[in-house]
Amino acid sequence: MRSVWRGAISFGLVTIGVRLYTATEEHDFRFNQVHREDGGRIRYRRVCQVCGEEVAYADIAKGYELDDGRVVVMDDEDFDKLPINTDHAIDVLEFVPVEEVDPIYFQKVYYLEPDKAATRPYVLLRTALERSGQLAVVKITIRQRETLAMLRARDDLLVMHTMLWPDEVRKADFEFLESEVDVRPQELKMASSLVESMAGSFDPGDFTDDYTEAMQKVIEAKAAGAELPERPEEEAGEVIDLMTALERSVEQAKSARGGKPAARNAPARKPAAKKTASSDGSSSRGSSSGGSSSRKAPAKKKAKPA
Amino acid sequence: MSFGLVVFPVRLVGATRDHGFRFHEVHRADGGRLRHRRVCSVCDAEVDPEGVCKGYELPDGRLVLLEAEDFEGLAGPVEPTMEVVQFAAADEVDPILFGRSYFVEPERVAVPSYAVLRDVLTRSSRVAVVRMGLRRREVLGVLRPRGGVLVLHTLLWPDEVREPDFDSVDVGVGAAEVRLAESLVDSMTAPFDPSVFSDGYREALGALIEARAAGDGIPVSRAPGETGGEAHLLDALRRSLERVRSGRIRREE
Repeated sequence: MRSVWRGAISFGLVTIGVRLYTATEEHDFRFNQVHREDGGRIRYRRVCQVCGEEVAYADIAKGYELDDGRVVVMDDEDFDKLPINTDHAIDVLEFVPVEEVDPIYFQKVYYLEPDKAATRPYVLLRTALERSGQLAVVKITIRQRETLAMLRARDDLLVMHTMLWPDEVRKADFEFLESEVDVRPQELKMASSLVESMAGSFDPGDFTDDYTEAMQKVIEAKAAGAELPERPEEEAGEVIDLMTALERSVEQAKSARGGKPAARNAPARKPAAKKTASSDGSSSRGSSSGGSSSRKAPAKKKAKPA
Repeated sequence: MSFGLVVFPVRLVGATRDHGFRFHEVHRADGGRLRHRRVCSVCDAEVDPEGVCKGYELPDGRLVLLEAEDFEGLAGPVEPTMEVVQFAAADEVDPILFGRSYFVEPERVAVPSYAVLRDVLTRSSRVAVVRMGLRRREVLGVLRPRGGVLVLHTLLWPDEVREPDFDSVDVGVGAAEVRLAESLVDSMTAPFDPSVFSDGYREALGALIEARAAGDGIPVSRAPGETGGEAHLLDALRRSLERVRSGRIRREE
């Protein structure tokens, strides 16, 4: 793992030297554009629409189109003059309760590794965050752009989530929100039973990316010159009303469990990993995820129409 | 969207957008926009879009060519269905897995069913774990209520979260230090209001573009903020706490 940033957290008068590592990576296959005839890689030739000439890399500038159609041409020197913060600092601005931060703002995630000399203050900040159920709101400059971010305790580590700016989250102003919807109590009750019967503790390891696996097979088959795997058939559904659908779903979910609360056969998980930010503000501590949960529960099965 | 046997039509709308300025590549000499022409690196001829396919390079250097039909319906559902596969406690889903966010909008006929699911999630503090086909990909996600709207967060697959491979950072810290650190956290705690913060870089870039458009000079940069010095940990904590209490460390804007 290579660190992408090196600097220090400043928390009051405490300074904690840290390195940042990207915490996630996509597992998608990377494709290139290829000329079908000869298998040659496609590259782009940049041609100016005004003079029709091919333009060398050194002669390319950035253009910003104004509303009136004029183009402002910006050069590297222009960007160099922008107020960029070259500080290698993660400034703690304030602390906020975990549940106050709407995860819709979360963008990229980094692991923080303390410098050897900074291990104690690092562990101290991590412990204080965990015990108080708080996140640290920080400012950091990565690749010359200042962003807002959150530090949170996750297992033994501090992780940092960079945040979108407020105007980067759209307003959800849908028409249906203006109409009054009556949710009937019996529907809500039935839906609650369905939710309970399908509730389990969440383990992302229960799920597999069938698409990527299928892609792997296609690539392997092509490489071997073999027949391609068939795609699975889908079943058609039936239209029923909401209440009936809820009732039948509850029955189905119950029978899928064999009518008894399944034993928890999952390995114990680290509690710190469960700390998450939920924005609805309501506490979910009361909802038991044990007891009625099951690894074998209907999770991966498709709900087949009755 | 299918929730047990309850099936109703919804649409997804991107919940976020990048507020950065969009630049085009231009020819510096005449300001002309650049057009990208596809050229084959083997025969050097210009290739039209129909002549292009996808290539995957095998570890041995051979190239596997894939056509559009190879991607069709790859294991994923033919119908774009968002299927609820389980419910989980809201605080159980590690946000490290969160990918993109979408608003889920019900079609008119689906509003009652949508409202039931939304309300039941709100009351139970649960999220719905869904799996779905999105842009020809199979995606795992969680649905959670946010205001009156259900938000879908797509999730990364477990193997997309890297294992930190540096040494364990578990050392003992003293109870007094922890107490002091907690007091410092408490004293710097405030309700979270993202609208207080603004993207200074974007604002400056906007001003620069305006200035260039008006033919003016370039705005001057501002000085970076101060950072704390080094001190003995316990002492630093104590002094930080004193400073916060006496109001000298203020919330930055």
